[in-house]
Amino acid sequence: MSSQDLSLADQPLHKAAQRLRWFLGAFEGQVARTEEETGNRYAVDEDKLAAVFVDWLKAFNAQKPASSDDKVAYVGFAAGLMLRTLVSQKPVAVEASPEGADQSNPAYFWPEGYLYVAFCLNVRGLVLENEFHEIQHPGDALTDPRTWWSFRENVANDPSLAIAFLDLFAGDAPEWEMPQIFRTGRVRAIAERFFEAREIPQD
Amino acid sequence: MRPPSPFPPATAFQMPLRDAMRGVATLADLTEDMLEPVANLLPEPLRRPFEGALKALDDAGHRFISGAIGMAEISVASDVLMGKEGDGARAETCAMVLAFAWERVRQACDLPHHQMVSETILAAQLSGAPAIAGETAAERAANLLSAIRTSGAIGRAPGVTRHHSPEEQREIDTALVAAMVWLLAIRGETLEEEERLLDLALALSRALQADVLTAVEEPGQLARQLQQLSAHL
Repeated sequence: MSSQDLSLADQPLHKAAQRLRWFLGAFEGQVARTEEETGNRYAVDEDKLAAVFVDWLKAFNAQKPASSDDKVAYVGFAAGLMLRTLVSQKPVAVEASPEGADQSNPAYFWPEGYLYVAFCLNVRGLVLENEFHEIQHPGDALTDPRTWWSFRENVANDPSLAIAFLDLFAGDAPEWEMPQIFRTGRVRAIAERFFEAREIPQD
Repeated sequence: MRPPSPFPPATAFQMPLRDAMRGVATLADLTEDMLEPVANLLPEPLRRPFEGALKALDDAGHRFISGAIGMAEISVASDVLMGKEGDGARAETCAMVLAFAWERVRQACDLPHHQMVSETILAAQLSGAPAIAGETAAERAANLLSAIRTSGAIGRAPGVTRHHSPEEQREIDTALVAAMVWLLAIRGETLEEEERLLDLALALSRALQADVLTAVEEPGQLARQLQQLSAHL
């Protein structure tokens, strides 16, 4: 899942990524690289991809945090929102895979999901690195067939779980309960205190 | 240095002539559609020349009304919307670019041939709307769009009839918004990229069609929509 050549713009990456022209160019680049790396061949519906972008943008703006302290966390959340929109709207269909491909490999077990995850992880990693000097360290789950089986089955029932799964793939702690709600640092701290206070004494 | 445009500048003579040729091209399309069943009844020696003549007329019309747009003309049109100093010739160039945009989005929207645009009326609207101090580009574009949609510049007989069915009006409004969003956005580097940006502007406007159509009746709300859409193109 290489991330080369995604930085196409001459403006801050997190701003460029909010432009349809950048999004389509970056997605096309990801399709080309994934085809080269896996031997899969994909068909992309550009109208659906434009609709994906618009839906993502609405969801992105709806929960944009006011505090600058939350910016880094929101990059990960925004990438998860994108994955949720992609798995819901399915703008890509695999046309062919290499003969005899290992079906336990995520790239062949779910070629479209693999492409979506690669795109979202690469954009997430690039924004974190370029603008916040943070390096993304994908977890072992990214290559674990059982996790991918669970990922595919769960997001088919509840696409919002894609947000939690992307955190898992990225090596972060996923929020499995209501993953579609962004929790600011302040809300997270209150929630932690609340759960600590409710802890049942052992004796 | 930008290469010179291979096409001569728009002149007072060319603009109404292009409007006339739009009518010719549309008439040829409609005539071809209407006469298709009749043409099949003609004997072979007559049928081919008949179809050939219609096609030649159609091709000549379309060739004349399209292809006169280059990067320089698009840049001028964008400047006119930005409220930069302009004269009648720049307004005419902007009208020519808007007409080009209309023709491209009309085809993409599958709007019928008879929904023509008049460059002459567009230019009159643009010339009659001088830039207002303090007005943003999106506000200017919204005011121009409102003026254009009530001017009769688009229709079966531009300047004569102004009635559209609700469905036609929705498609026309969406297409006009797409054209304005395109001209307000950051410019592309090649003509091919500009055409692609226009297609993307239409995709954005269609994806947000409900919001766009709600905004189109109120210039303030429309200006905010144009601003947001162009920022995300």
